[in-house]
Amino acid sequence: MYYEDVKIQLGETLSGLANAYGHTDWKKIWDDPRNAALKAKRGVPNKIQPGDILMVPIPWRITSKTLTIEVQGVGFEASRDGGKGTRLSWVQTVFQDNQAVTGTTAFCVDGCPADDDLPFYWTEAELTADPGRRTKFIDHPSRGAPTADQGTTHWRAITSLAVVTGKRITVFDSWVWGFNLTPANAVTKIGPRAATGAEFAGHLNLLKKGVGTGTGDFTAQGWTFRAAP
Amino acid sequence: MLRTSGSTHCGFVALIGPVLWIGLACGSAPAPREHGGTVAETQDEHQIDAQRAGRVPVVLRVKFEKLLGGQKYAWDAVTVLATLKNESHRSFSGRLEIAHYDWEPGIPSGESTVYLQTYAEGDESRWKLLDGTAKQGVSHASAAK
Repeated sequence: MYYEDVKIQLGETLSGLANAYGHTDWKKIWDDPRNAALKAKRGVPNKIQPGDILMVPIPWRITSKTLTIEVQGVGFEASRDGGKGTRLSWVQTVFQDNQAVTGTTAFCVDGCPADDDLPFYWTEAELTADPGRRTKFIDHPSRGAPTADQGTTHWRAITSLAVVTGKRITVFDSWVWGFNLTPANAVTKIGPRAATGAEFAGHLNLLKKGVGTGTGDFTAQGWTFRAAP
Repeated sequence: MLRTSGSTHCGFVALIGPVLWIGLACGSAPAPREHGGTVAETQDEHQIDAQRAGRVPVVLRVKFEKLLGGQKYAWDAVTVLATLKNESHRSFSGRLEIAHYDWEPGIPSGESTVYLQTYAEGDESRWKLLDGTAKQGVSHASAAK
């Protein structure tokens, strides 16, 4: 678990923020010892003021994950605990090795190619269509059999939970998974396993330098990415 | 095993299983595509579902060529046989790549009618099946010859 430091904005309420970060009970935040000073200063939740710093516990984890071999790739499905939370999301970076699809490069931020101008896996339209996606992840990557000259395709992904506060994205609970596909069409699944520190650093770097459908990379757009403190 | 490709500018290395994960050009450059006609070139009312056609700007008759694969979206390569509806600002002919969610069915073998929406809003360089699935985005499929 970590704590997300949230600067209160005009019009925000404790219950609204609790809901946004996946909590069903705002008292768990208000009564947390990390908020003792704020609680003493304001007395009751509806007296919180813009500029106050609220420490929101983020205990959420990926609670289930499955990786299955399919005809020319694998299927990875995962879910996390906690409420849907409008400030909770998923991010994924991928390495496509020798089979980058439709004008993309070997390394990219998924959706790849970009399907919107945000660094998250699900687009806003997809979350609106199915809010359950906030707690669920699904991807079934595949490739055609590589040629003998290409050699085996090593496809990899790092999938993480993400907490979004303003334009700061905290990335945590990261998992490496993927598959190898030989010219003979033999599929071997890789993982899922927890990302190492070096892998996580690469994942964050890709997110920083990733691009969406607009101009400039995500960093140029003002997004920042960090590990959970 | 060190793997590199393309121009490098991300500048980091991390180990992923047997593969060195090397930050390269991190984005995706849209492939250049032909833009042009706005008028439907042919119309065959026997090969089009009017209700689905009303939900999309583009309806094509295509022949499936091969599954290219992908992540989140899988890409099918097809040959365009006829344009049944086109309210976009580009024309369709020859080979085309069409996306669908990779956990949903894609374009079947043989010939079929496909109902297309832009892959990303406002970008007519890439297209996907209606609702990202052949359940909505494909009709009038004929068996592969």
